[in-house]
Amino acid sequence: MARSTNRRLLTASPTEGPLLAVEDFRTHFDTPAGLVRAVDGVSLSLERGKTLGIVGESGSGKTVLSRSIMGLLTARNVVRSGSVRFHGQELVGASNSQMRALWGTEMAMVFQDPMTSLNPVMKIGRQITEGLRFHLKLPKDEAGAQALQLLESVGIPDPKRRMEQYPHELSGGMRQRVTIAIALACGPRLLFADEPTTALDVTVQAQILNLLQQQQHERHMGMVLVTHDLGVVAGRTDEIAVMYAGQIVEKAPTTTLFANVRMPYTEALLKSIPKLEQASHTRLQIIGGRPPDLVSPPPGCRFAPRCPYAQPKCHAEAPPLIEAETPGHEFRCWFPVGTQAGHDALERNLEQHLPAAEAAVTGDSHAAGLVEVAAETGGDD
Amino acid sequence: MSEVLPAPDVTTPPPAPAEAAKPRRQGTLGVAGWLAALWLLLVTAGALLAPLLPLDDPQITDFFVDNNSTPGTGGHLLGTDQNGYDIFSRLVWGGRVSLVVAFGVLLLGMTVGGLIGILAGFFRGRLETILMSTVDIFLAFPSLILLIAIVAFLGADLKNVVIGISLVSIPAFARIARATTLSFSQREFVTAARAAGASNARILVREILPNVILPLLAFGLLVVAIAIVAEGSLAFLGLTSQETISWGGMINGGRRPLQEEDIAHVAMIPSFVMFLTVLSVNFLGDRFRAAFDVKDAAL
Repeated sequence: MARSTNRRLLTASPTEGPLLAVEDFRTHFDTPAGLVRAVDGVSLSLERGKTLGIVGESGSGKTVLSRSIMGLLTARNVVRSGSVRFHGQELVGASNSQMRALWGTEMAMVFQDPMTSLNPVMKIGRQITEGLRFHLKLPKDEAGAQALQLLESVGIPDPKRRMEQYPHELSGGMRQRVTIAIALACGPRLLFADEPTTALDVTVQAQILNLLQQQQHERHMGMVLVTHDLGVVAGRTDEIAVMYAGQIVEKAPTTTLFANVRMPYTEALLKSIPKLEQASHTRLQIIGGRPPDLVSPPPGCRFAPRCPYAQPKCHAEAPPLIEAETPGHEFRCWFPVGTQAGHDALERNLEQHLPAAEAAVTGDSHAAGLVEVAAETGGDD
Repeated sequence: MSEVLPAPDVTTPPPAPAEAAKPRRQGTLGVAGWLAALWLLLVTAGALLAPLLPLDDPQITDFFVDNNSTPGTGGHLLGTDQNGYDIFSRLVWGGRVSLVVAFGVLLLGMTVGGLIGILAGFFRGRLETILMSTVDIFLAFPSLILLIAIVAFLGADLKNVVIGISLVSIPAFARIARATTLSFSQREFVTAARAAGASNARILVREILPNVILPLLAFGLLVVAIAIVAEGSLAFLGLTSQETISWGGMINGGRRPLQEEDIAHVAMIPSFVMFLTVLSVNFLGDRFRAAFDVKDAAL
């Protein structure tokens, strides 16, 4: 890896400042059904050597966010606005050829499904050396030697034999290791990992996550880890941003977030993780209802229709990102969890027998089902 | 990673991966497959080596035996035809035309049709609309009529027959290439290649093309069979130069003995050879496709 490390040191600008700075970033899709606001005003920043976790359920916009930051959404109906600065360079509105200078060498991505993210008709070795030869202009034998080293560093046994194999001859975990090797090949400074373990066995998940963490550490990269599983990011990130309906609803340093949850959505996500100490056959807590329609999101808080704490104010007025007492902790909520206001709100909802509130307290999935019905009929009574 | 460990016996090295993969490939071909391959090999070898083989001149009438003489007469293995030419020799020489037509059409039709389909499927938008509507117009035309029109217009020689059949085959190639490209461009490895900094041209050549070429080739074998029959049809209709020896032309020549003198073998023998050849090509094409299906499923 000596060569790419040197290269990185040469090209790294001495200017301090975040590796990635995203400001009021929006990504909308112009569809026949209307403008889909998949990412709607997201701001975040990431330092070199740090890991940011982006968490949210399906459809919350986390994958669109990561791909849009990288500029990988090429369809004609994509509208991007706001600002994404990578080492001070503005990426929104950058041309394809400007982006190509960054892709692979400066920023890289590990994809969700290793079954589809490798070319089925190209040997593993070729897929790794391709980037080395194309970007770093390495001669064939040097690229081959480096590919071997890469495969070894991502923990693939007998890399020499693997180089000559096709993707279908490798297991899922092996393939994901290969895609990680490809992403790391040219020594990027920023790595996006888009649900890198979703398609893998649980036993392999931890290995892959450890590998990513270890590589991120060794190479001093900035890493964005996108996942729907708070458990995945818990021990492996410096900061977590929770996304809901295209917005960041809570953002905090990892330890702060788990200690002082403020946003009811984050709390609901945490409650839905199965715990070891629970008796078997305990029903998992679910979040009733569905994420809102992103063409016409609710006027107030976007989580209000599903929220156990929701008050009339929540349905009418969208909460801004509020600074919590701990530095770096922001959330969007009028009646935050763990405060007197939140406590009172929940009490009021329980008195009125609102299904969302009862489901949250009793863990009753029948009540959660009622939330779904209420959310679908627009229910804010 | 639970790796499969080699047997504890250190004296025997673990089998090379190539050896491990071999039995499955042989298994998919089967006895009939081998026979088909053998037949095609014979026809091809005969066609290629025709000038070197100890054959009777296919253009010289043997005046020592009757025209339309039965197989075996006067040293003529398969007899003579209505002009007193040696049928066996003409069959071997006629294979050349079929070979040229088969490969010419495969090359021309697949290259042009594949290119149109890949470009349309990858870039979408207006380019796709223009290319594919042109293709659809061609596809809507009755192909044999179009073929006859092309050949009649350009003149009936081998080159024009190949061009004509290729033109007719382009729409099908284009549609298949486009459909395959559409599905593969959605796959993540294309996005991954883009994220690794590959240009459109590079993605097309390195990521899309190798994946599209397999189904195209499998379909190409089917087109080969159709092309051989199409050339036969044209020759049967007299749309071929008189000097060219082709199976279709031989069948056409055998029509008169069959109708007027009840002599069947002059028409039947070339028909049977063409039948066997087309059957073999189709059969191998099927096996080919089946083999890829298995591979696809394993991906």
